[in-house]
Amino acid sequence: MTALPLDKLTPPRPRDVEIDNTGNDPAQRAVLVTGSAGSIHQVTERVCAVWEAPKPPRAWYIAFGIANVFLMILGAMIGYLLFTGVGVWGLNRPNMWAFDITNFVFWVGIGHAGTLISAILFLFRQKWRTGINRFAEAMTIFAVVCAGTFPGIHVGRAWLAYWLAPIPNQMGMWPNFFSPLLWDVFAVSTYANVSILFWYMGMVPDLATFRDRAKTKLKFMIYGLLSLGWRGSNRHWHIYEKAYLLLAALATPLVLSVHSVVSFDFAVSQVPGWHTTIFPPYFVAGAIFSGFAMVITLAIPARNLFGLKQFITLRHLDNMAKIILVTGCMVSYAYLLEFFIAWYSGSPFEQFHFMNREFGNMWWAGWIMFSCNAIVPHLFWFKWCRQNQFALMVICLLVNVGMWFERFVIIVVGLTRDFLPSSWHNYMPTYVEILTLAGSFGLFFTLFLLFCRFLPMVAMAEIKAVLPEANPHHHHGPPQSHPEDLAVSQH
Amino acid sequence: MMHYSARGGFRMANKLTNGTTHGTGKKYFRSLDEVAQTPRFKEFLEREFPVGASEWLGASRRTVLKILGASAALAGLASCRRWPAEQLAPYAHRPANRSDGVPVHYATATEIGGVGIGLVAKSYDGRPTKIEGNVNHPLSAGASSTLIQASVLDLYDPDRSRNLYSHDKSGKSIIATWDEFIQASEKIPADGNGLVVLSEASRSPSIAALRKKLPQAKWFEYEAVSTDAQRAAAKKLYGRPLRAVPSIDKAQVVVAVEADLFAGDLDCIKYSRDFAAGRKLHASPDRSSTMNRLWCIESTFSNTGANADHRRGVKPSEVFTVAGALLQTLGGTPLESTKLDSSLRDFVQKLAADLEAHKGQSVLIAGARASADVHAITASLNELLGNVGKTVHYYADPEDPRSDTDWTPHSQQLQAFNDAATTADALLIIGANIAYTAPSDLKIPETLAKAKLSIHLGTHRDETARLCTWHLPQAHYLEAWGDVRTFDGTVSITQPLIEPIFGAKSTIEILSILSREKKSGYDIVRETAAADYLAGRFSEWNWKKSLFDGLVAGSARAPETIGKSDAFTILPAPSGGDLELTFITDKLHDGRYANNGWLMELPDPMTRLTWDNALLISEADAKKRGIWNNEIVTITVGSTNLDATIFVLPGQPVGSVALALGYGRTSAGSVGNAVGTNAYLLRTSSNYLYIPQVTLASTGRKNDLASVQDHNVIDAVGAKRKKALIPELVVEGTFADYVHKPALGARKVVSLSMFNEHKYDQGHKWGLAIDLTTCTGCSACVIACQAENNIPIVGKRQVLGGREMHWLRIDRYFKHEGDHTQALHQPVMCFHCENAPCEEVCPVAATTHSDEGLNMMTYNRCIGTRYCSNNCPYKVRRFNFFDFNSGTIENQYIPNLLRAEKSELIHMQKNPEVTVRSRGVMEKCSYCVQRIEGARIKLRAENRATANDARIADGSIQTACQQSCPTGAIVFGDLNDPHARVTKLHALAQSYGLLDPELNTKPRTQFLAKVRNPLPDLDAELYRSEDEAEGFYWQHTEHSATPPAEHSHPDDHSHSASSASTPHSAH
Repeated sequence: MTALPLDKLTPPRPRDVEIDNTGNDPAQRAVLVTGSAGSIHQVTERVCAVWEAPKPPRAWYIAFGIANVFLMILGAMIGYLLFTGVGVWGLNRPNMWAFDITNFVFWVGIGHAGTLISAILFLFRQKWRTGINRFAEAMTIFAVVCAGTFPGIHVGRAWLAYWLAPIPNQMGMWPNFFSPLLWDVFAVSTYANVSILFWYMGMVPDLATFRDRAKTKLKFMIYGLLSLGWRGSNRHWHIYEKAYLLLAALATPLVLSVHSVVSFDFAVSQVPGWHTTIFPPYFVAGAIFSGFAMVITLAIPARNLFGLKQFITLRHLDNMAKIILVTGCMVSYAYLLEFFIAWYSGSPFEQFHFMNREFGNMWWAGWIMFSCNAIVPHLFWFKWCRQNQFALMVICLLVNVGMWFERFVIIVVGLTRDFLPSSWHNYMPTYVEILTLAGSFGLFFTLFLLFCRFLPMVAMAEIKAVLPEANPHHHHGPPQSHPEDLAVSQH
Repeated sequence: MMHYSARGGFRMANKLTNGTTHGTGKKYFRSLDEVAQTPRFKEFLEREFPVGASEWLGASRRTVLKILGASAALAGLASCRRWPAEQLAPYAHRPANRSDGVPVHYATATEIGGVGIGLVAKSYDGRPTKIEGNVNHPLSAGASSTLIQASVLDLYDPDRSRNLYSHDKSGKSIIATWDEFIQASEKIPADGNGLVVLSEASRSPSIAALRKKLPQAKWFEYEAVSTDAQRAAAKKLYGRPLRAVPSIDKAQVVVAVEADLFAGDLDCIKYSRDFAAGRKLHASPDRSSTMNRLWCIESTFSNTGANADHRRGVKPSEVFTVAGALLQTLGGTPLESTKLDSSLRDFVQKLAADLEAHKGQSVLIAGARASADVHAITASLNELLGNVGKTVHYYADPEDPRSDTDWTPHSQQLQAFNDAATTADALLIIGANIAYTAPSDLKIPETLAKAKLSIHLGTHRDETARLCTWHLPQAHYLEAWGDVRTFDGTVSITQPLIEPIFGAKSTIEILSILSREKKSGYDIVRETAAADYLAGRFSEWNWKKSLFDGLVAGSARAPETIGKSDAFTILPAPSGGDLELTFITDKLHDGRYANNGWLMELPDPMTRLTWDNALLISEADAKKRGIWNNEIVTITVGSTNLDATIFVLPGQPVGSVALALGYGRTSAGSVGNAVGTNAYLLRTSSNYLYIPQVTLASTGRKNDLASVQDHNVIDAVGAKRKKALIPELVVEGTFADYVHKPALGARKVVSLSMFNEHKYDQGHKWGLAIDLTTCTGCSACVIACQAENNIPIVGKRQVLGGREMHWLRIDRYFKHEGDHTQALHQPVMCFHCENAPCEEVCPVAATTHSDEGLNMMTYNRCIGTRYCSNNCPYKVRRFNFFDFNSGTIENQYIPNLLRAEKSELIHMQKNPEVTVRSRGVMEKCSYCVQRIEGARIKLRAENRATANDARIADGSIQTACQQSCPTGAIVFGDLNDPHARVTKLHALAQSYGLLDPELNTKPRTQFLAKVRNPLPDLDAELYRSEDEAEGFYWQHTEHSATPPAEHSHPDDHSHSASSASTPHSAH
């Protein structure tokens, strides 16, 4: 490409080119940022370009509009619920929980991948995490926001939900520390706090970059406040790295604990199909499984839309698909083990529950769960499926569907047919529940789209540390070049 | 004790009108214009209310008064609180025996369909809230039935008629006053000449006396559902329409023929109690003492059939055949040879042998569905077996308006009324809703429409009221004085507890108006007492004592002695068709209770249906016609069609479909209108009890029936599991097995705990025992619980959604073997588990355990996570999905701020001792904790010195369900008291905790296994002796059946009361 006069006025935006970096050469580490993006300057330029663009792409507006409609639906449904009563849902006796807690557990599960990527993969020195950790963490926080909505609104007297918190009061009335629901309150709120802290702290250097590049006073003020006076001094970096490591160490057990505790809601009770000791590891595996599926579901449109293909490379997708495969196998193992234990326990209630799950009144739910979670992920044994964006998208959406149904099956199938046949009753959701679930996606995507527009989607500071430039002696191979990419990579 | 508050005090305002208005003192004036009477002043006077005041000239004085009256009435309608102002003021001197907020109990009585029932009503500050049976009364004996329990709600029915209505012929109705009615009634001669009266059945001596004051009036009596056929049979056999009263308690063999002994029959309280008397196995330590045996022949599957030891369901036309065959077998009147299939022949042979072996100790009872011929057969069998005078007594019925000589049953009375009405000057209809209940061929609505003057006295402006020229509001029995004789002649005085809420008058007051005496109800009853049942011994003391006791001592009559029956001929058995329809009655009786929400939402004991009557059909008949549950079919009888919804009832006889009367009302009120199918449309004088041939055709439409059990079709996997599970839930066995092995498979739990559990060895330890052997499933307890604990109704849509609120439910399970189907009833309410699974999962500690072992709900603390319900294996917790107590059943889905509130009137029934729950909180059975605390307060007040040591004595607390239970199947008490009945029952071998072996919940409510008493060689497939199939998880421990020895230590708190072989729990 020859330089045109116009180019001098507005430098051409570097083309976002898909470069295959999934090959494994034993002699060299795979490159983590491909093509022309792989220079320290380009990282800043390209990530900031999303924020600095005068207008986001048209697709952003469309997505934001749709998400907002669903957000408003969520508001309307919650308003109707609070002013009328939980009866507007399809709940009954014995199905006192259904969509509400299913959605809660589903969203908490989604919220797992972010912290796993940012904390556990950090501790394990998995440097490829840097490409995806920022928005995976954002996804975590927004998922926890969605998750936190449901326990709050599902209670019969939502205006008193604060009684779940241990607030000192004149009656000396404390919550019941025996109750797994109370453990949930602590687990989820701790997780939300640490995740937000971790996310925000990791963002401070990047926010400072935004501050420095701000073109208006308002942006300068806002990002200036958010960046907490970051100057990038050696001392700053030293303290930052230490704090990041400590927070990672703190967040790591939380990744395992939060869903373990959520699983106690079920495991500690005695409803057939709930009362299972395998639940904590099974739920954590399932959460990571669904969380990574959601990361991929978000990453594929985001990298295409905002020109981040060279940061979120095919190798990232491939790695995440492998994690999905591994956790999917764990989940499948848990499913099979549940059947074995039901038989081995000799409890006819358990045995009946598992027969009923697959062949009873809600067999379809059981089979959606089993096929989406235990059969479909095995497609990831094929490399093509791990690297084809379309296949990835379809499989990950199915995994998300399957994982929603997993929670639905556990909660509802267990309750519909519990101990006394006289109380058996099927469950059907009302439009309010279905729209509330849809509305929670509206909330999630509204927050996520705002994040994409106004915050650094890729951890610039971190990703620079894994570039070959930053690490000349221990580098990840030379930047792979591409004919079309070459013209602009000569800066 | 007399209740005076109902009299006087309320009419203070009227007395103000007696104040002086015109004096004769000095004349003062306001202006010179007034003195001069100038035109300007006159105009000013006329135009005192300047705009429009003088313009309305077209109206007559009467119209103005009417409008004034209507305005006042409407104003009253808007605010129906019944708090007289003077009661709100604090007392300067408190009346004797009166403390605000402390309930008082008054003896009173009611009558339903001519059956008098002695009651005790509980009243808070002049507001009756709860009805119980009167312990001294021969019929109720302290217990009650669903109808009795629900009757208090009728008092506060917002749809009760609040006004007199006078209808002109153009169909307009005008609100009228009593004075206007009295004026209008004077057209009727004082001796009743030209007056034709149709009354609901009543056995009131006062009404009988007032009848004599209208000697020329023609009097007819009609009840759409009654056992008049029995009296018709007695007339046929013995020449007099005597009433046969069975004493089931004295019988070893009981045969029920088309009789709903335990729920449908109006005498069900007595029948249930007497039946249970022969089944109280735990009452005697000697297990080999005998147990009665119930045989049942019926054309549907009633809960009498569910309790029978041997039952045969046959087509209604075959009931006669089977009864006839029995008579023949026992050597009675020879009948035409009857054709019975081998199974029925075997049944009849065995039954005959059983009766033969128990001569004088057996009783045959035919019910309301049986024809006069069947009644004649059972009566002559009773005579043949020597039961008369032993287990059956005949009583005269002098209060009956029909004389012995020209007595005809109710089924013919209406025809006679119809004939008399054509020449009558005036009609008076008392209570009976004949426009709705009459056989359709009589064209009663046309008769009423033709009448020049027709007066309807009724509690509601029902179908009949709308066709009459006058409607008068009838007082509820809690509002008016009255009296009634029960089956043996015992008189009870109906004592009002509240001034008529809408100014209604009672039957006796209306009759007194017609005879021009215009006496108050109180005076009429006193006079009757002096002249009739207290004749010769009337004194203030005796009067007050009768009021206090709730019955007039010594008013019972001796049974009549009857001779040998006249020979009678029985027509050959009418042949039936391939599908016969039998009319049954359920909780709504004949339909008069259709607007009672408690009854409407009460699950039927057999179908568990609420809010609808359904066409009950056998599985075989349904499959043959390709129809199934919830499908609407058209029933065709001749040229009449009627749409009804199908319910496939296991055990329903093949070839017989059943449809309950009392539904499909059009003018019942907001609850009862347009609910179900009006079966009366099919009923004619010739097809009065059943229709010999109907055809069914599917309409293709559906109506979802709101059953509280088996809400949805159970799939194959579930059905298989259910079948395997039920024998573990409802332990049952035969009497023969029980004698040898009383546990009958009931499993007891030896609890080992890792924890240092609460010992409950101090103070009380509350527990409950339910004897499944004597529980008939009648559901009186369900309504009693509802009345006591302020449980709202939720409406059909919510029941369909599985949200009914009954704290106490009666699970019904079917058992199907070979051709036979049996049903079991199991009352389930909160079991107050010591290891309550609900408690530990509540995050806000809203449900906790008391140190007396009550599982308590703190409504104020509950935020409604519903986790407790999920973790409750018995699913006894109820959640307020909506604000059921404030909205109506139609507007639940409208946000609270936008919807109309429920009528205030209904709130007057609420028990002030029990919190009315708001939306979003969980609730459940509390073991009637308010009654426990009431007993404690009473004890402490009486026994101040030793308040802390005093223990509540056994029997001084009855839970509401226990109090209403006519069979005494429910026993509540202190398990720390070794002499308490409940302790002894829990110690029995047949006592078990539901799911306790599986879940170790340690329920405080225990069941006593159900024992039936079949013949060894009949229905053997139903009674296969279960060879204790060893459960896989808990050892089966055999227990001694003897009650715990007197010396057993109260500290022995373990459920596994006595077994020495069991290891001690680790404390």
